[in-house]
Amino acid sequence: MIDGFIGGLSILFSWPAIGLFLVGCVMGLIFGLLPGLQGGLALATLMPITFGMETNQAIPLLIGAWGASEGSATAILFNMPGEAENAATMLDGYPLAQQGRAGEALGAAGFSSLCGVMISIGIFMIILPIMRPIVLAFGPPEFCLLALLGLSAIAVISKGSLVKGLFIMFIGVALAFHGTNPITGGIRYTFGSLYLWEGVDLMPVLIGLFGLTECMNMLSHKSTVTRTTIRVAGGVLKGIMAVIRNWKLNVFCATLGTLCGTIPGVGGTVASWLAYSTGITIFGRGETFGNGNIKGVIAPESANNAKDGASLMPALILGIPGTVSTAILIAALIIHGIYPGRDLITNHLDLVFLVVQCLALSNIFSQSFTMFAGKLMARITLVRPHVVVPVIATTCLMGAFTIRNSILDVALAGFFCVFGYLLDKYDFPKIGILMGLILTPLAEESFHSSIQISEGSYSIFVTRPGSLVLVILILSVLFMPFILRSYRKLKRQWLQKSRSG
Amino acid sequence: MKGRTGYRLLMVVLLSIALISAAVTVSAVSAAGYPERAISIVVGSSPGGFYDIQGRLLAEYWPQYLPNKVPMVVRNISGGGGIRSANETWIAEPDGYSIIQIKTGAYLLAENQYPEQVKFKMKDWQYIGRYTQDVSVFLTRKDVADKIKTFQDLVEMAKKKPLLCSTGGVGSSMHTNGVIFAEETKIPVKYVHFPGSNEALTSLMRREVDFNILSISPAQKADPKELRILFIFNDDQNMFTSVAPTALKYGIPKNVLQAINNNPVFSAPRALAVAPKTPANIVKMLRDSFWKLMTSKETEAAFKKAGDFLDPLKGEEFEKLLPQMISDTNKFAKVLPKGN
Repeated sequence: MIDGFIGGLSILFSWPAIGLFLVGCVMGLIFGLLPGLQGGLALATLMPITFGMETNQAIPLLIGAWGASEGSATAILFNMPGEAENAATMLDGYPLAQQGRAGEALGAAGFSSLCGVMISIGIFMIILPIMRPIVLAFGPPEFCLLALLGLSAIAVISKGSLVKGLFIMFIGVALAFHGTNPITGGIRYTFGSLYLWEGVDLMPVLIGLFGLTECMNMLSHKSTVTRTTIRVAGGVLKGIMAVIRNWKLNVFCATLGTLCGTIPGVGGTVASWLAYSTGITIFGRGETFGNGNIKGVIAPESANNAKDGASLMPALILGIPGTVSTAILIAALIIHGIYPGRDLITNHLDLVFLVVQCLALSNIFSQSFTMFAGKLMARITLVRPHVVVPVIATTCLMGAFTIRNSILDVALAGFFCVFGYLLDKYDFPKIGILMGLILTPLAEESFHSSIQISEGSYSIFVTRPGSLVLVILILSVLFMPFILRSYRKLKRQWLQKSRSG
Repeated sequence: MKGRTGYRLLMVVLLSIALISAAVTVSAVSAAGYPERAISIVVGSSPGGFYDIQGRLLAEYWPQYLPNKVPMVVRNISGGGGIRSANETWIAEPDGYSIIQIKTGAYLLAENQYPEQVKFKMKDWQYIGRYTQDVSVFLTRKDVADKIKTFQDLVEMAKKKPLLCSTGGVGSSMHTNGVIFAEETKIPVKYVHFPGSNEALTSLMRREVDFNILSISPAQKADPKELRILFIFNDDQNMFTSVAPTALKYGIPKNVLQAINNNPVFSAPRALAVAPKTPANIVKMLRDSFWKLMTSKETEAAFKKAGDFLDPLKGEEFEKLLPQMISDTNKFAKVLPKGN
């Protein structure tokens, strides 16, 4: 192990590997900042360039780009996530920017992301020898229940009317039912259109509902992002201190993100939403969210970066990619004749460590940039709307097009822009649509697979240990508030009786 | 004023002549100088997948055999199971700058089952050539493999309880392969569908299913301590000596194996084509350069390094096989279970 670790470092800090690594980091940073251009796309763009390179040069370039792609800055500053997994960060990050606390939000996002990836890499190193049973312990029943756990948290996350929150969530759920169901083979609600065959894509909805809607809001109110005086000085440091103060939340969400990353099929977007909903349920009791609570930034950012480190495990050891980015990474390795699996761990341990070290350093690079440039980036929130809106809107629309090279994605983003504007006007929580759209496919597909595995028996959801734990957790989330309230009421009545008696 | 008007008129006429000449010159250069700019290989799936890797390898090594040595790039157009990429290439300008990567079996099936969605006609593409086709394997867990050492053992096991096969979704290659296998061998099989081939493979490791049938490339990367390739659906033992026995050696009757392999949905030839009205000289140029690419040692080595292999066939010869492939696919489509 030590030889492999030193071997990895010696490869990384040799020339031209270190130069290529820095080039990759810069490219990843740019991709992460632009909506619609994600880390996976950076990998895909760079892959052909690596064909003629040595493996020791290709890996730093590719992992540098992947690890450095970071979409939290745009999520916080413009209500527009650079990547789908940063969507949860917007909910509290953008309100913080509107309150003039963009620096604090950026500092918290950067530092919690950094802690998240370090925690997951640490866990990766520790559980590497025993990783297999952990990965294989989670199957379709567990995925289904995890998704339901995330959906059940809508009650906690909805600000204002719960009925409105549920209504909007059901719209998201309904949207998720469009397209081909790979489990049953049914083609649903496509209205004869090939475009809808693969369902409503998340990114155009995100871009329209948040990025473009915010542009409309800025223009209609003739206001900057920040609606008040910004506190730049000490903002970033304040954000870092907030992460240290909330270290339990950080560690919990990083662990949850690591778990989600380890399990193929869960994905980063699900990880960040699960972390947001369960993290604030457990660590944010009695607090409001969605109005600029720093914990609402720490939770998802910690998880979505932790997921990156963890997703390497099934990818490198089992050859099973858990995310699009790791799928491209495996493809790049294969093209260079390196096959994931036992052989990689046995004969190329230095390459495994090289991947992990590149991921760690690229995260340090990008999060340091976010933290140190936070002060400068926070000032963007003061730029007048007639200057910033055209730039954001153009970037958003270009991002919507690049997802699938389809003009219909741009039209979809436009539709959701108008829809989002109306939702804001009548005070409906837009987050519900995202939760429904993200978690419903996982819940439905896993449910069907589970029933097929058990040949029709529903007991599969309670007879597996992992499933049983998740069922108990869901029931706790749903009923614990009522049980606690009833208990407190009874206790108060009993105390009053005993005092009067 | 008269002089000025005349001068302006003269400038307009001269400018028009210049523009028209430029346009004619450009188009003349375009027709004669193909290729003048980057050529796209259109791949109907997202980056990083199996087909994407193959497309990128072709794009890397092909340009050196083209006149002008223009670069080739991969354009990913995912959606509709690859149909969208084929539809868009079908209606694109037939100028030879868009080459579609054709998943023959899947597209033939789509043409049969979803005629309202499919804009192209498989028999009307101008085929550059076939570069490979699938060799599939029967993959199972080690503990299952120890109990079914011959085909007869497999038949006996299935008689007690239908075999559970994991797939990457209804209509996926794992599913269609399973259906073809069950149909030809008369072995009862039940399917467990997952939203992707990776999940299907993981379910095998989790002991939720008994087997799946997939392409040899991803199967070879599976952990040999957990999973085992029971046999290969190929009768050429020399090609895969170190991998596993052929289906014939395993005991599958020769006529059954032939019926399975002859099904284009199973063998999944991967071809390259351009739109129907592409000029004949451009098609010839692409075919000639493609064949040089296919017969080069460098290309073969690159595919082998990526765990894949070439099985090339010239475009003209591939076109002759199409009518039989269409007929076989239409017959198979009648037995493929429909989604609900």
